[in-house]
Amino acid sequence: MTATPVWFGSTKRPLLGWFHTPDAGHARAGVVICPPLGREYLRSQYALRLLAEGLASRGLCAFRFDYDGTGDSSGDERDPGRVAAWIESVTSALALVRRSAVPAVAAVGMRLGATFAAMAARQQGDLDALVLWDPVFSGRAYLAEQRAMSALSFGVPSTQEDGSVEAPGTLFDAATVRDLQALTFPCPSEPLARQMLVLTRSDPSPSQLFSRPDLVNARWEDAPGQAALLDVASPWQVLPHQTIQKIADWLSQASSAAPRPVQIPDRAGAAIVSGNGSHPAVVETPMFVGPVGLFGILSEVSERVTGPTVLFVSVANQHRIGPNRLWVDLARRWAGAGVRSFRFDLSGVGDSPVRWPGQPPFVSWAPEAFDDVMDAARALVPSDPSDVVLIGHSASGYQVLDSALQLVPRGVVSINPVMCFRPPELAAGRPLDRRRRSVLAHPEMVAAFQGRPQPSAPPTRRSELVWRGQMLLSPRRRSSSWLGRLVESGVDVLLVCGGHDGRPIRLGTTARRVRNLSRTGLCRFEHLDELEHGLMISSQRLHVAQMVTDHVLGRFGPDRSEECRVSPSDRRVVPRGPEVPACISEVAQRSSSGQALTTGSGGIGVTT
Amino acid sequence: MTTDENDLTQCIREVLFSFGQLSVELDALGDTDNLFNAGMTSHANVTVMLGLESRLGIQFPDHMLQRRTFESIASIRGALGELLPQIEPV
Repeated sequence: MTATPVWFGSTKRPLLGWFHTPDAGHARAGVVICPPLGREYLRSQYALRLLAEGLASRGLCAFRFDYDGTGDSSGDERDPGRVAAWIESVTSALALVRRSAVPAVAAVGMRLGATFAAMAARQQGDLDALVLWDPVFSGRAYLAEQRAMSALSFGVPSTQEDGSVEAPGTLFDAATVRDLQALTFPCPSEPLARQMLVLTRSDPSPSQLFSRPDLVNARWEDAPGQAALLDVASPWQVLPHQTIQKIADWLSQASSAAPRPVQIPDRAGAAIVSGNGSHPAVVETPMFVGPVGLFGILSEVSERVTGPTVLFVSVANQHRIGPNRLWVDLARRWAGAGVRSFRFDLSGVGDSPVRWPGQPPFVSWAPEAFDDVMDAARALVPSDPSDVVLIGHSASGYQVLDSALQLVPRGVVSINPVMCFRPPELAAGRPLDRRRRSVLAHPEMVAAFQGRPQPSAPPTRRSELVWRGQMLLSPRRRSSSWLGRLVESGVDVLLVCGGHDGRPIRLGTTARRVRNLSRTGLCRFEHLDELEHGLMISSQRLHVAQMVTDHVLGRFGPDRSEECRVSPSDRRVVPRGPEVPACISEVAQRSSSGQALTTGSGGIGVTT
Repeated sequence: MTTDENDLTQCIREVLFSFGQLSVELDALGDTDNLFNAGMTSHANVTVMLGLESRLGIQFPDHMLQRRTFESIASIRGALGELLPQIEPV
């Protein structure tokens, strides 16, 4: 089987997709796979990759893609005409698969992707098979569910004054809200496809509250495993292998045509994804790098730029787009400002292969991530792999800190790092990887601080005591130790942490130590008390994006990179800088939703 | 408690039984017991809220979409009391 990334759709707004083809290059049918949106999109990406691979192994060609303004495709959630653009993306994907000369065309859609697939099927009217996987039958009900999820899970006002609705991981503007409310599942008197399979959840879920539409020629079955895939936070999801196999088998049986050679479009080269007359064109190039072929996307402008390359590391077991697409937004914004970046999938997640045959895929905090980061740095900057800035969030927020101790990069930005977890090698009965220098892996600490009901729950007195006791037993793993080592090595460090996520760092050092490190100009700790761990709240995401942008462009942008640069031979010499960077805001920031984000720069509320 | 309140409490319990995914027996749960401590997740909370909206033909306004509205049967009944004119606020 081969997997080939391709750009498709309009050259002005290219969309990124993946062709999965059988080894022989012949296929009995082509299947377009339509993903969900928002947080469901992030959580289902790997499952849909497995489905595509399962189809290819059965002699079918599969095509995965990102809708306009989502994933790696061009555009963003603030663009006008979202619903029409999403449906048009499905139409373009179907047209591309038809052009590949497959003898039959089918589609699979999950959640809103099923709705869009059904609408495209109704428009085109000649689908051979259609699978609706946990479909959304009412746009109004979907919005109500998303609005409630944001309000009840994250405590944000679900409907903004301008009519936009905060959904987990995305913001629907007022026009999109109106279009989604008007979205109804097509139920024509004619079948949507010659064969149709509808898989619905049997566990208690909102979809059970609404009656099933009358779909002609549809076969209804259960979709086991959907709750464990979509309702569970990364990295604790369980892949729905049974449902994936059921869909792949059904589509294989539904495709009885003789195989034909498939004409796959050329592998994606560079494409212009943003820019206009007043802004430089941002070019993105899908690439496989390093000895194992890690997949990532390079973002840059055509002019030669100086300064380090930014490496955005995929988060937990999710793919390279970052927390709710933050890496894509930042990569394009920074490319326009002259900073080159590469967002990539660690091995075994997203679209990267595993490093060795027995490596478990879809795993967070894998020890192989150390090699992955090194491979990416060597591939992107062969002359000096340390001339990079590492950026991570959550599990990869931890990874970039520990990899920075190994690589000694120009800078590191860590957002809500998870410093306390059970490394997979320990869980598998192997010793702790020696490259892990900052992880707090004591089972008591992991149990106390990962099993929390809410990430933002206030610390209890007992848990503070557990922390402090463990810190005393692990002096080299205290943040004061590894932060000191990073700064002494000349690495520029920015830590952005919410109240809960910042505790391992706050409690592992002292206010005086942090002040001293801040005085070097290389260490900055932004403690935003209300910051939600997953950056699911759009206003918080925008706030963090601006903060990180100011920092990275201020330190490493084309205008600053040379004056801030410390040559590799001088990295052990601590350069002196301003005590407090100018871009640090000391005042409390108020988000657009009215939620206060208490900002404290450098000064951490730590008792000695 | 009035008859209407009894009916409302019964309705809440039925919705919780169907969608609450509680880890304890519903019969063992008092009206003021914390539902989140009894195993109700955020996702189950959403389904319970939508279940109540569907069953009673109401819509929870934004200011009621908070965890404390749904933390117990009594707090849910209090919120519904504000939304349903025939029920006296609890």
